[in-house]
Amino acid sequence: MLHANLREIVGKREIIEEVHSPAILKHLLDKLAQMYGKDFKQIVDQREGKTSLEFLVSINGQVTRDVYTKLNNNDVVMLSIPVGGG
Amino acid sequence: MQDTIPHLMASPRSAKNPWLGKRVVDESMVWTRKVAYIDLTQGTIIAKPIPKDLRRLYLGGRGIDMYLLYNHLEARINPLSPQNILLIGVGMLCGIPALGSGRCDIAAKSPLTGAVGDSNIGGFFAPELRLAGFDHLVITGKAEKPSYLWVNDGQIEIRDATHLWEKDTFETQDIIRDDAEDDEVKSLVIGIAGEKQVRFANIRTGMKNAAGRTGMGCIMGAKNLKAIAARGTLDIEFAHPDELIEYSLEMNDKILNTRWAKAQSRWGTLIIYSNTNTTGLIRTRNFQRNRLENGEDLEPESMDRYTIGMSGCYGCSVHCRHRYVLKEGPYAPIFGEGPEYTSLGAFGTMVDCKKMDTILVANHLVNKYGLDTLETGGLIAWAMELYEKGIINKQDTAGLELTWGNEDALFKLIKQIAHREGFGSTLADGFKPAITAIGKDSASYAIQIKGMSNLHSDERPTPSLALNIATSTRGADHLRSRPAIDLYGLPEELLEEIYGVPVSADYTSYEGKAHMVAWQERLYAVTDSIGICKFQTVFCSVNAPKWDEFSKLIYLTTDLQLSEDQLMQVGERIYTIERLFNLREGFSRKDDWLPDRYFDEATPIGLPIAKGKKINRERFKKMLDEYYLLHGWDENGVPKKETLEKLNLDQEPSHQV
Ligand code: SF4
Repeated sequence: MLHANLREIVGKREIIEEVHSPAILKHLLDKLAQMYGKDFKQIVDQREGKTSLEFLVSINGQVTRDVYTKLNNNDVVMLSIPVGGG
Repeated sequence: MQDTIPHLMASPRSAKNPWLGKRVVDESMVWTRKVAYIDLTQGTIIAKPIPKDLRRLYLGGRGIDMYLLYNHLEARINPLSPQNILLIGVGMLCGIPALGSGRCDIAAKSPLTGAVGDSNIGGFFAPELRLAGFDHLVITGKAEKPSYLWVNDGQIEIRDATHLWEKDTFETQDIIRDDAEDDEVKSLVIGIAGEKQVRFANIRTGMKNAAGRTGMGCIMGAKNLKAIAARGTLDIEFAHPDELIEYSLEMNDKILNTRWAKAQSRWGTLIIYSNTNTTGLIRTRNFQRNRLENGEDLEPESMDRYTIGMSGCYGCSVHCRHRYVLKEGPYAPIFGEGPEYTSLGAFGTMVDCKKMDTILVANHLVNKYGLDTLETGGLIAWAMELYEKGIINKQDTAGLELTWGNEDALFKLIKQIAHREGFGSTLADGFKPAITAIGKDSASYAIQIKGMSNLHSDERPTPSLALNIATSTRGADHLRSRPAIDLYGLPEELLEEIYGVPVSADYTSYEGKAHMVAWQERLYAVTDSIGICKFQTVFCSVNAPKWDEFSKLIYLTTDLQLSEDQLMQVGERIYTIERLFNLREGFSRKDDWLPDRYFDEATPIGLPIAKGKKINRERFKKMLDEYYLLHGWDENGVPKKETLEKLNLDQEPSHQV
């Protein structure tokens, strides 16, 4: 699921990617960065080797900063930015 | 129906350039602005200076309003009686060129809940009132006939408003401006809902801004007060102007560089919907489901069809609201600003309406009539569930078919509520009287706390947010203490750095969450007292300004030195005086509780983290105990003697002013 300007860049709300085990979040993020460029690349804070605090990355609703988190088929990965309030 | 872009949409003295035409001198206005006591029954007006000590203890805005409310209001009066006090308070930092510093706090005993009534409004009114020489207005009594207050350069007059009665909130502002032959006049006004004393009528200014919650517009109506108009040409004066401007610009840059500010400038608060709806954190069909299926048209991108630009409040660099035109449909053309994420919930998810057009029309209607969006939507969603369950029927609703997603019934009912007509008159007094009137099992479907409706968020998966709505001093409400950053899964080291104690990064956990809520209470109490926008504090973004920035800004604006610790204590003092007010009105621990459905019904859908969740009664009880302990309150939620001494509250009411 893509939100905010990530959605604008891709032009879609949702991308369906088949993952082959053993798959990790990093594989998916690297692939998206290659396909869609800079903003996607910035999802990973290269210095820390984790997802950047400027983004909100969750797997099945569970927020994660660990790019080595395992991915399974049917997992919902949400790539968004931290906006809250309501 | 108007067919040209309304005058109110143009924001004179642009938010981007709030300095226009103002001289800056080397002395702070905070020490010269006055408090005025206005008795509408007697027609008397007395202006007094605001004591320095009071500023140090309560700052301004909400803080001083709460002090005045606790000090001057007799306990347990009828909120609609002339004895109730309406307080208007300008934030202490009002006028600085940063952080949306144009906010004003409006307070009274709430006619909706009987507890603290308080609501905060942005836009351009507060700076104009300050330019006119006043920071606080204390309004008592009841005018004999419709009246409005005219505040201009140190003078206040009570003027006849007979010609304004029955005018909507937009027309009223235009007529006042035309009468004064001055485009710079800014007004707080009520619509038909306030005149009819609908208990959740709001107060409005400009096209979009509202003091929405707790029925402050109803109090104006009960006082025969249609508007408060301000026009000022006094100077804006800061203690250290050069450094203040430099620091403000630095802060604006910092905020604008964040991704949340960029997103909010583009999509407004509607951007929140994508996250919460995907996860399953919003209520739909009142409280039956926690995600709107097929709700794509409510995604923020849909606003591109209607948006003609973005606008903002005074001193704001973010500009988070859409200016829109709805060109088609029976209500077209509609020019408006908004809608907020909360309106999307009130007239979309909660009532199962799935079209952005519906939201825009409903938003326009409540704005025109002067109704609180959240209360209106919450009550209508509840009525729809009662209709579905057969607790009310077509006879009770005088023919309205209150079926889910019925936008025609939604619009009709909004109008009926505002005019106290038909079934609308049953809902116009809010949840508590409506539950008594409808009876049967209606109470168990009401998503309200202390008599006030919750917004459309579903807090069952998030204990911190649940504690926030249960304990809020003004009823179910996110703006008193919501730790929204709990949803970001931030690193625990960072959370500990902010909150000062270990806090779980898992938003479904109960660990450390009482600390989060108490901390946010203090932060927001100070935010509302210095009069800046909550979005530009640690509400949406962890990098936004908080105590240290506030401390520096207060110094540069006023020369007053308050450390971070002292500011936190100010926040605690304000929250505690609100607690004392509610206790005096008969509220207690039993009122800091959630509706049973939070404990008994699990969330039916959503992503795995949000599905099958409900609040655990025992753990919630423990969290509430912990929360009281943190405040220095006893197990019944009553502040202990030593707590009151520590906060200089042991001598209240002290009537310093
Ligand atoms: S962020 Fe939005 S609500 Fe806050 S001051 Fe700016 S325009 Fe007003």
